[in-house]
Amino acid sequence: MTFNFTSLKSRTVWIKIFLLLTVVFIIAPLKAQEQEKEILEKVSKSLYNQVPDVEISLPNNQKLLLSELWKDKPVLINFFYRECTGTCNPFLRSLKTTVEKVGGISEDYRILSLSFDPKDGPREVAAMAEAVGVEKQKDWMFGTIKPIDIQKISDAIGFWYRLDSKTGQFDHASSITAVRNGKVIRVLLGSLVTPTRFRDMLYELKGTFVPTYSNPGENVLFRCFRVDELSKSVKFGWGMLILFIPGFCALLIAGVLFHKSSHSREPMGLS
Amino acid sequence: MNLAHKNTLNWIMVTFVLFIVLLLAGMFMRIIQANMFSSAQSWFYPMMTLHGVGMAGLWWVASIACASRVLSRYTAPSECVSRFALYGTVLGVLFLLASVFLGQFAAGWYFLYPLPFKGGWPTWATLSFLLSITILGATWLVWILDLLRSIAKKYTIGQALGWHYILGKTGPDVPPAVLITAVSLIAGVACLLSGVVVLLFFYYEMLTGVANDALLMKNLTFLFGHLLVNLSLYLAVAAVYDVFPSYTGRPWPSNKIVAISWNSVLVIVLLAYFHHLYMDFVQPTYFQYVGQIASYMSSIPAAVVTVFGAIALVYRAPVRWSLGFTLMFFGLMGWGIGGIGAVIDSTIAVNSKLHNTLWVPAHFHTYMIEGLVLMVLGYFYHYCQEKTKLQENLYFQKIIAALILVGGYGFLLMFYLSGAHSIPRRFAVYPADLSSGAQLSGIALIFISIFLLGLVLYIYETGRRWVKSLDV
Repeated sequence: MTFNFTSLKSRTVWIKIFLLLTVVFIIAPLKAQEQEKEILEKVSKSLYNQVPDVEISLPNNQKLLLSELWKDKPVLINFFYRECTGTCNPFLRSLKTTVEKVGGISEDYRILSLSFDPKDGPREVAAMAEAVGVEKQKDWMFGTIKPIDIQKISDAIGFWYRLDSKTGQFDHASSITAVRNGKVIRVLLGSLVTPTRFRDMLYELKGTFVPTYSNPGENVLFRCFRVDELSKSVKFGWGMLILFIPGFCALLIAGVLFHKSSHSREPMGLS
Repeated sequence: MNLAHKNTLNWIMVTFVLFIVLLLAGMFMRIIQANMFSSAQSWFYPMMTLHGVGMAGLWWVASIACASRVLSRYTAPSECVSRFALYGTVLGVLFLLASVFLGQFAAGWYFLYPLPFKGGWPTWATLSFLLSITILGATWLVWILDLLRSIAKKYTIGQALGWHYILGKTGPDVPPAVLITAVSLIAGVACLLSGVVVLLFFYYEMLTGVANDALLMKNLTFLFGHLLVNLSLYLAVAAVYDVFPSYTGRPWPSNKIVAISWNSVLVIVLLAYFHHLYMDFVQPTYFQYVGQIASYMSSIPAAVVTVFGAIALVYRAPVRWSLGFTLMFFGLMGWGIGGIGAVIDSTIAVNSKLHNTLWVPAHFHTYMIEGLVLMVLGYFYHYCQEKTKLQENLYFQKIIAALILVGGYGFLLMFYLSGAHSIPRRFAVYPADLSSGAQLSGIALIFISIFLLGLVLYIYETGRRWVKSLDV
């Protein structure tokens, strides 16, 4: 079979390929960046916001104000709903594993897991605590709040959720909001709670400056160096070599320019 | 009118127009910091970006234009390439203006990764900014390669870099302007290539979504940015070396000391940029030491040799203190003063205290506004005056120089005092407990107005000659 590049049909095919490549390589990544940017903006805007002092209902029908929780130690607030078939359960389990690993609960902070589904009552939240395996954990509370307060607190800490009427499920963020004396200090986004990020958050709650460095991850073309977490050894990467390339190329280019011009140069001679 | 002359006049006009616009952008920032126009504070960071990128780029091209004109006395740079550079620069500036004014791009003058991707501005504004830098970088690379080619047509690399002086020979005579320009242009290629690499990484991430290593990006960005600013100074110094003897009546030839100091600059200036990364705790510590040592070694030999040489040349010489010479002389001194501030700031123990205060803008504004800017403005006046030979009113010209010096140093003093009071840099508006920052900004505005008045009078004085030289 032969393919005629100049025919109308093949031109149409080429245009389609071009458009497809444009979407795949340019528009799609830009779109994804826009979404990520939107979320980060939302989160950063909530930093140092005052969290509303709302009333919480615990599974044992005890009621208390949020300020009673943060008056003597910071509180880590997160949201879930019982019927979630998505990230809620894995998220809370990830949090539990990290808390066990990092420690400090009760001494340094409390955790408050709140349901944002108005259908959830004391029984549902107690069931969730049991499902995650933290029902007996001291200072990790599960509770509900009034629907109007859910909106208030969501606005203050940058949490968002949206009901999908087709599935009956909520589309929502997975986040932990660190609150000290009623103010948002840090927000951790993502359903996987890693010990490193969690520890950073606890340091920040204590007022310790946490220098952060954006880890480029594994999928990076070049890096300056790689640190082995276990042995703490540092290995230089190709990125370090790249730093020398401009200087080396400049000398090379200059050498070539001067060498190439040597045959047409006026003789000056050294005295 | 020949093309070389026309090109120089075009560069002078572009410099005057852009300098006024960018100076007003800087003035706007100080107005916001003085709490005078708080409704416009959302424009602080876009203006900071425009002011920073614009000023760094403007004085870079202006100093290349000076060096190009000086070089044309000894070699034959292509005037078509100079014209191409002018068009490329204007096009790049248009993209920059679009990203700042239409997209409110505000990642600062060194667009530190990953900020261009994380700000609140639209993605197209980031793209427009990166395209602007790409166009400017590519254009300038072609330009400086042509200048280097013109040197290579006449001199061997050893002659151009004055190695025969280092070896104890006295000839052939290589003007210091050629030597300094050769050093600066070779380092300039490295500067622009590092800019190319960092831009490629930005585009790569933009298209694929794969993140870059922030440390690598910062190293490359500052290799580019640090060199760009330093080489602008060196190129302007080359012009001053060339012009001074015609005012003092004394020669300023190349010799062993000049050759050694500028050759050391070529090697060491490439390593000095590490001092921009002192705050980056992930940078290996020994690089920080290299940064401090290289900062001392790259600035002291060239600056000391040049400033000492200039004072020796002027001492008891029958100098005619015209506007051009006065500005160039005080430009050299400003370079020295700002250089001392820079050396202090490149000391790790000091930098850890001052890095995020207004001390840093204080020192870099010193060697820019009272160093580089004065040398270039002085040279531009000298060029137009040489072409027209208009009668000079030295009294009026002294008033202009005094206004520029008093206004400039007064403005800088407010930055230094703010730094001493730990007023943080890059704050658009100061909180109540840093209210002295706002007060000092207000006083700075008075000095900026004085400087602006001096500048307007300078443009009038040089502009008259510029207009008349159109007929030459």
